[in-house]
Amino acid sequence: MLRYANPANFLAVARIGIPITGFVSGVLFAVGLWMVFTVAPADYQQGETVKIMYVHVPAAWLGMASYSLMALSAVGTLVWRHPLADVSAKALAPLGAAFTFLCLVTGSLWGKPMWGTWWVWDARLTSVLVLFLMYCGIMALWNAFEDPARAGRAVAIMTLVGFINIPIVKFSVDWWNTLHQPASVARLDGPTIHPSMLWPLLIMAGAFTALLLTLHMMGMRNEILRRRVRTLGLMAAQVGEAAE
Amino acid sequence: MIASLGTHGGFIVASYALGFVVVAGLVLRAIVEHRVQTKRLAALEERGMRRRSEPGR
Repeated sequence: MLRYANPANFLAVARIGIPITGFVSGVLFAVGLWMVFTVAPADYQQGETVKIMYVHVPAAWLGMASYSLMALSAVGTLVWRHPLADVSAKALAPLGAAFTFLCLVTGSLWGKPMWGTWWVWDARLTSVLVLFLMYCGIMALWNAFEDPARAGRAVAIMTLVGFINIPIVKFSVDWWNTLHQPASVARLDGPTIHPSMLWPLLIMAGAFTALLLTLHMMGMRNEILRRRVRTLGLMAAQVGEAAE
Repeated sequence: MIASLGTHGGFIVASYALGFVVVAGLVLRAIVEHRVQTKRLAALEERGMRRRSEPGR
């Protein structure tokens, strides 16, 4: 891993990795969507509305996974001053925010026909909304500093403090009485979903995960370029000043 | 097609449409940003700017 800590090495890896993960994501999306609309049965209670699950659940998983990866990156920034750690964290924030937003809106679109309401202030929904607001706060903090290194340290502290919300999101359905259903896939006693629905869900989750990897590498590559542009821009300004 | 998705087909279509818009938006944003930064970097390098760590400097 440390071999690739160098941004130049990372760019070389990303050049190969981005098309591979992008292709894998595309194939998995094609297979997953085909299974969702042709193989996966309607739910005996929810009917076809259960199809929203195949977008909503992977989006929820990625919303939490992105934040967990950001927390790992934050440790890399604060403990090891890893040269790519805050680049990784900055690239993840908008991705996590987008997937959490998708989770919230598709949840609402699922809730209206099934629960009869777009929204309830139960522990799961509220903690996911808090997660989305934290992503927004973190993106605002990134933009509040001129120097990306200073921003990286401030964001890392905020990210680690906010990580307390991740177990709250995960276990909210066990700790409190919620309208949102309890976990049915990631359970100690195994999934409670029938395999005819579980497989399309896992394939869609794989597609979304490969997409996250692709977008994360693209975002990191862009951030490295942005920092190079900033450095060279400052050098150009200094040269210009010296010439005057 | 929406009719084949039952009485709540609109909710299903809206969910997948939003998913498509979000994914397409993220991909487009990454591609456009890469083009912008690559052009900016090339313009600076054309002006003779090189990083200290760059080989050949």
